Amino acid sequence: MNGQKTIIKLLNISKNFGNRKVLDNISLEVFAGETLVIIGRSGVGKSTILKHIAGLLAPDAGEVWVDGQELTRQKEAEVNELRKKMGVVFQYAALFDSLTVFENVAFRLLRDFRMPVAEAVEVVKKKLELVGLKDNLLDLKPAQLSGGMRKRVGLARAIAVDPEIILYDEPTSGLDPVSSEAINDLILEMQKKLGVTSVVVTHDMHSAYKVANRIAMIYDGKIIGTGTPEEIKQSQDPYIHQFVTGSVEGPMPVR
Amino acid sequence: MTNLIQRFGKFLAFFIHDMGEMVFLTIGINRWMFKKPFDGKLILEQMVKIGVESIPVAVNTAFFTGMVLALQSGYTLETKIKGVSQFIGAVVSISMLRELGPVLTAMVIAGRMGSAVAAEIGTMQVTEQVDALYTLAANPVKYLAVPRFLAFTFMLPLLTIFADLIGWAGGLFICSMKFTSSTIYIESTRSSVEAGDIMGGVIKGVFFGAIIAIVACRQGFATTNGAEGVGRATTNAVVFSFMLILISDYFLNAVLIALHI
Repeated sequence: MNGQKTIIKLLNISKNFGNRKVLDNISLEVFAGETLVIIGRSGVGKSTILKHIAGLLAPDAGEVWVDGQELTRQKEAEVNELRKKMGVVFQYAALFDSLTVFENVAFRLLRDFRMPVAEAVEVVKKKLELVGLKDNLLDLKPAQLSGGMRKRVGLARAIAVDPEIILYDEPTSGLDPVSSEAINDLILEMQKKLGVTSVVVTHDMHSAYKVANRIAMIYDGKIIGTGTPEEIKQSQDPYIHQFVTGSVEGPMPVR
Repeated sequence: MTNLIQRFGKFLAFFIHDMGEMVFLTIGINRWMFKKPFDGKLILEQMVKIGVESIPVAVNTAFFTGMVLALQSGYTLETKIKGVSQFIGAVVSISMLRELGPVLTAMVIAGRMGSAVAAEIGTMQVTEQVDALYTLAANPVKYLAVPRFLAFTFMLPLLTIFADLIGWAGGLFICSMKFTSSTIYIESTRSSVEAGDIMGGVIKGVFFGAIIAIVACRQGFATTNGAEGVGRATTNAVVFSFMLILISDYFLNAVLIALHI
């Protein structure tokens, strides 16, 4: 993988929400150009990891390094510079309902980069095409789109500024199998066409096997194993085995 | 009984904690207000929503308040002290300008737009749109709170002046129908109203606008727990606004009197 250059590094991250320990001394590296998938049951802190990388949450202890800079010590303006290299695809797309598809995708181009509208329209059309959408959607509001379309628009918004890193939070959850597969293909395509580094959080094992170069499993606030999809599939760890086979028999309690 | 006291204590603790958070938000708003980019379009949008679209409810409130003021004061003056109904104009206009215009307008706007702002920002919070703003390099205080703050603090005094006029007209209508001639009403107003009465109401409007904006934005940003949380944020925004408007009205009055305004 590109000579294994590390682009994201979490160092001994801990995070509590109230009395609940969500992340317990987690360390994780992501190499340039790879797709790392973080798997684990709902509510174990997968999205919390993503939010730390995006600088949306600050750890109680530990360091977050993105592209050679430590996020937790930066001012907002500096974090914003880093965010130029980063796109985030939210679980439910998180499109701004008051804005049109065009205004959503072009949000940063218009507001932050001061790009002329005519130029932004061209960029947005290109990005929509890249995520497999037609440009007749430009003037629609998010509420008029289907779930799958919203996710694609969310992806188009994330890639509008040509990021080097894309963070995906549950990209296939709530989608039908066909739309899910299309999203998986998109993630692969982004890696191939744009050479981006991706971190994907999911509990959809089919998607994980398809898009991952490496998989990390998180349980009880800790990373209990990392490896290639093949290694994870063959893992003898009882927790990993139970999770990837989707079994109720095993050490994890069924809540 | 102890249960009731406990609940009140909890509410008080929550209220005080929230007040602290609101101070932080106020500082944040002031810090971001003067930073680029200047969101002229967003500010204008909010001014239309908060100001222009609130005119009908403000008019309705003010007109009927003016009418009931004239009716009640006219009736009281006539029956209790014979032959002083020529003061109805003074009673209505001073009450409207100093108290009822600013306070009732603020209450109506808190109910109509404070709740709407809390619900909108609250929904954006629980659907991760606020997080999305951060990732797109737009600070949510700058993008959401500043335009609303400016719109509320600018539009509420304007609505107050408008309400004063409408309320006065309502009083005129009832007075001329039931008690004295409109000339006496107008003359009574002219001889009693001073510039300070108008100013006082406008100053109150500015403060009340700021209160509604900060309370509503704070409740929106603090929303958790999905739809239920949005409901709670909306309720809190209105209840806290009402409380703070009434409390600050007393102290503003005291200050205005001390300053001879």
